[in-house]
Amino acid sequence: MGVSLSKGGNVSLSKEAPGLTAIDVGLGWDSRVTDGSAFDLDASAFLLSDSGHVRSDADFIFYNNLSGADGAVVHQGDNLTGEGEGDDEVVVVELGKVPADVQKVAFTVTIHEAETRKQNFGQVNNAYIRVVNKADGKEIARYDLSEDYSIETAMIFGELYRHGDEWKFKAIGQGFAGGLAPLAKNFGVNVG
Amino acid sequence: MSAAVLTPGANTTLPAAQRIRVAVGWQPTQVPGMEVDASAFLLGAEGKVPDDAHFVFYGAPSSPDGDVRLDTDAGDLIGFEIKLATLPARVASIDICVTIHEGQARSQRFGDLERVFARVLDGDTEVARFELPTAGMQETAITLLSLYRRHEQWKVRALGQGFVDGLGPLARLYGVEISEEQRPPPAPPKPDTAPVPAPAPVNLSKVTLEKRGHSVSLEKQQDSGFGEILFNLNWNQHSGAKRGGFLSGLLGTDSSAIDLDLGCLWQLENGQTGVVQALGNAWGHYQGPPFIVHGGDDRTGAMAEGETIRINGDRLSQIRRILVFAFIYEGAPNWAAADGVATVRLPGQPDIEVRLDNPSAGQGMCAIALIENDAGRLKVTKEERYFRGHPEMDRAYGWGLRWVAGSKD
Repeated sequence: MGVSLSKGGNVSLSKEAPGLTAIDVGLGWDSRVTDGSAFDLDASAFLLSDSGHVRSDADFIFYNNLSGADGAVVHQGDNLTGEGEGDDEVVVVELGKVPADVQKVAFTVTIHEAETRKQNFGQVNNAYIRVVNKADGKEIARYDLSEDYSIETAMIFGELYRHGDEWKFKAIGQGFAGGLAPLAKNFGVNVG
Repeated sequence: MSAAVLTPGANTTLPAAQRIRVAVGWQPTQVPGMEVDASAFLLGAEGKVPDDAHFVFYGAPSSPDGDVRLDTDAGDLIGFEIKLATLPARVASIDICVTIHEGQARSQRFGDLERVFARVLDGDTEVARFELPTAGMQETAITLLSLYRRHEQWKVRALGQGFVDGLGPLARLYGVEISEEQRPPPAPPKPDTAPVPAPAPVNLSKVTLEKRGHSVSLEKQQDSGFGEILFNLNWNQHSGAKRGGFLSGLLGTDSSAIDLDLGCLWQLENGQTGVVQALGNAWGHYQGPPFIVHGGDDRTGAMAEGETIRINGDRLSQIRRILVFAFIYEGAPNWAAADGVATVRLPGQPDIEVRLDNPSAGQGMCAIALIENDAGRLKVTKEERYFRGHPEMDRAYGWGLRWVAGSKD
């Protein structure tokens, strides 16, 4: 069981797991159990420079661009329903391969077609983000968003960032109006 | 502080009140033939009820300690009185739901209404409000609000999600087992398997006659009679298996299934009396006296529909009174094992259900309900009185028939 973070909290991954080389960032939520439109949630990762923006559109890792920075960050694929045990979507980060000018990686979850389906995070249960050591499968840090969302349709769940020579992870839990497109624009992606 | 107006998914903190009220309503307030009910599920941390007693609805209007009470006398609203301060810690949340009674069977859904709403009140002050426009919604059961604990406080979240198939799947979501209208066909008895006592399922049927002695009285329709009054008796087909196998040999009991019979004593306006029952092949007549007909004998309870008696309500003027009864023809008078349910269906009325589960030992006869011609009105009174047999019951009601022992072919 890793460090349990609350909103705004952070932890040094390098200290918690010395010799860490690669992580699985798992994002999860409970699928809808009632009738009505299904919830399709999408996890994305943004590779951000000092400026807080992507270096190029290729740094936006999502369901249509599963790999970035020469394979340093790889999205394991889209889960359309949120069904099944364990993480719903996983992004693998090879820490040593992350380019030096990438200062942080933001992990977000957005609700697909939230507006037309009239859905928001307040209707999603048990959302979380966790960081797992790729080498031994042990959870290093976890953040249960539980109450840190309401009627948002896009959320920044957490951030992986450099701190000196260390990698740290911070629980963000920040909502964002609109869906994936405005979120991506906010990070400097040119969304068509 | 003005009331928080919630949209689906939104939440707000509730004031630290000893008790609050949640009022549930809908518009338009009346749709002909539609019955909207509200219910509350008291849930543990896993989102399930600790037991069926934590499901508060029309059939069980209070939670075990009275912390949540249903109040249906609030005009167009259905209210819940919730004592937040005294709720046991194991109750992590309370979900407030609305359902359309038999919505699927009647082709009704929340889309037939304009909106449903819920108000959270602290005294007379509205602290939160949730209005859900229902246009286009196919659901017949919706969770409106979830009241939940958060950091020693209570909060409320608006949801507005539900099920097309109604209260059944909704109750299952919350871990409440319910009895189905249509029971699946019985499984063959397994004599070598010890019976596992199952918890009695919560019954979702309308129970309009709550207690012995309660009655309903119906006025005749303008230009027609009362139509057909249907009595149905159904019982647990597995009762034989409970006494089967190893123990039956050991105890020397008969392993045959319980045979429950439905019958009635009748008395016409002209004073004529008699009985309709399978015993003695007294099947009756529908169009002629006694205007009662038995639907046939079910020796095992295996017929899905059980046994029925139909009463010609259009001839009520010629009927003085009818006493409908059930008795155990064969086997020990074990009502608990028989698990009998009598249903009375009156045209245009909710079904009346009488569970035959309250006997004294050794009494194989149960008077279920008394139908009387009460100065032209049709009066149905729940009896549920248990007797040793026909003669004793006859004496208790002053019917005056002569009884001799009989047997079926």
